[in-house]
Amino acid sequence: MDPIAKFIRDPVVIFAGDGRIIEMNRAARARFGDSGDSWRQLFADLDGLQNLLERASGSADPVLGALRLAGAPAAEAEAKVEALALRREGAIDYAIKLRDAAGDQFAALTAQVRELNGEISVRRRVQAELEESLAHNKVLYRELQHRTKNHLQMILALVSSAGRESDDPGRKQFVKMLQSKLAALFDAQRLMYAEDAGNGLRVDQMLSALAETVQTLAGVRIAIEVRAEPIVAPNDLAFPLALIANELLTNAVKYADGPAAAVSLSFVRLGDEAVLTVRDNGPGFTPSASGPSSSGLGLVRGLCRQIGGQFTVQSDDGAVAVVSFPLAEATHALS
Amino acid sequence: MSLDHLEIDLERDMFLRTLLRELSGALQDVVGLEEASGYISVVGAAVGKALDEKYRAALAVDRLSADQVAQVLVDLKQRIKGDFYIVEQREDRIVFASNSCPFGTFVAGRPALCMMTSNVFGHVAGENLGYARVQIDKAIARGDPGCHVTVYLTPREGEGEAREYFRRVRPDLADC
Repeated sequence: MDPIAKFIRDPVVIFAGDGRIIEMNRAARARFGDSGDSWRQLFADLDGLQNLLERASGSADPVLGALRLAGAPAAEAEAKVEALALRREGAIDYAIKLRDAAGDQFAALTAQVRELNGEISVRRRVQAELEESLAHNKVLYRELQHRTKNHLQMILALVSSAGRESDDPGRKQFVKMLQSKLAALFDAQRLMYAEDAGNGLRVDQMLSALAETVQTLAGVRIAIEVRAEPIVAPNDLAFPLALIANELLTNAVKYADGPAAAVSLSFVRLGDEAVLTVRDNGPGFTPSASGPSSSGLGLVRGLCRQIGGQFTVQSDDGAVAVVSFPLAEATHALS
Repeated sequence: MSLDHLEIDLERDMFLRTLLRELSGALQDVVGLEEASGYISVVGAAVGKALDEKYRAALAVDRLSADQVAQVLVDLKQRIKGDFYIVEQREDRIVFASNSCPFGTFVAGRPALCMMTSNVFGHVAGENLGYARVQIDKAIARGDPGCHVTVYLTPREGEGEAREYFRRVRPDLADC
């Protein structure tokens, strides 16, 4: 055997033109044994072997092919081989080398990579499913917002209608109070839908809209000045805040006094807290007062508890109501 | 909506050439140029065998002469828009040149595809004349402006990078 073939780690077998095995290197003997001297000892497919050797005879270079090995299970893939025609003194012998016959030398690594690839495939599929589900849920959520807004608007219209149809002053006042609260919720909901704000909405825009609504519902011409920082608050904070601001503004408009009646609202961030201040130039506020108007302040206190806030009222050339509350992590200022 | 009016450079030939370019590129990337050339040689030899049989049948001859081999190789390349022509023909060699590849611009960076030419030329010449040694001196696939291919018809030792081809012999293994 050519000494070079002895260096080759893959099995190399040399045949004569009639199929007799002339020589095998060490790897081939280890793989096939050395008891026989026919190609049948190695390969199962006569036609395939003849085709391969015929192709090899037409070239001076090794040709690639695949052959079924003797005794290999039917389900096993054919072995990859290279065949080379050896021209010697007018006759042709053939060398066949089994490629990668030693098997995968990095079997553990290959298995690990295969396993990782499988895991990546699963994760990608799950991610795709989640993304699709998220997109679907977004559509549903938006649809829900839309319906909520419409229902609120409808309830608001029904309440307004009930107020108009009644001659009872007490009932009219109750309807007006109810209308005001619903309008605050409607404003917040409308903004949320308009901005497609799934995670929160702009408090400054919400407060401006509320001020306009309160002004309209009050039916009196009172200037309401709004100065609010552009802060985005999560929905579970924005809705209580809308109701609080509505109560405070409604009270302020109600008690603002004289032809120069004025109400101001400010909303600022101070460190980790936000401070909502509503001020009017009315007669000031007596905390011990009770009656219909104090039920609104009760609502404010209840809502403050809900958002972890603090509510104080004092007199300073009019009533000054201050609500401070911690800003949640989801709350952020617009840069 | 019909998109017939869009100016997209796509028809069957373009699609198949793109497919071939990407396949050969993937092969070169995965197994390397040398191994890819080996695989494409298998295809080239099979194509060469089929074309050789077609031409011999059409010319009604058992074997092509050297002149016929030269004409057949030019003809088959021209039929597939290879624009090959004979630069020189002598007893021991036929020299071909071309300014355009059948694969067009898709061959750039795919030198493994040159094995199609080498094997088709080598198989047709080797099968009919007994021996052929194909040397691709210049190739568009390697960045040359044109192709230059020499088919030697007599054995020589160690000249350039050439591949040798012989008339095939089918061994009879049945009795062993």
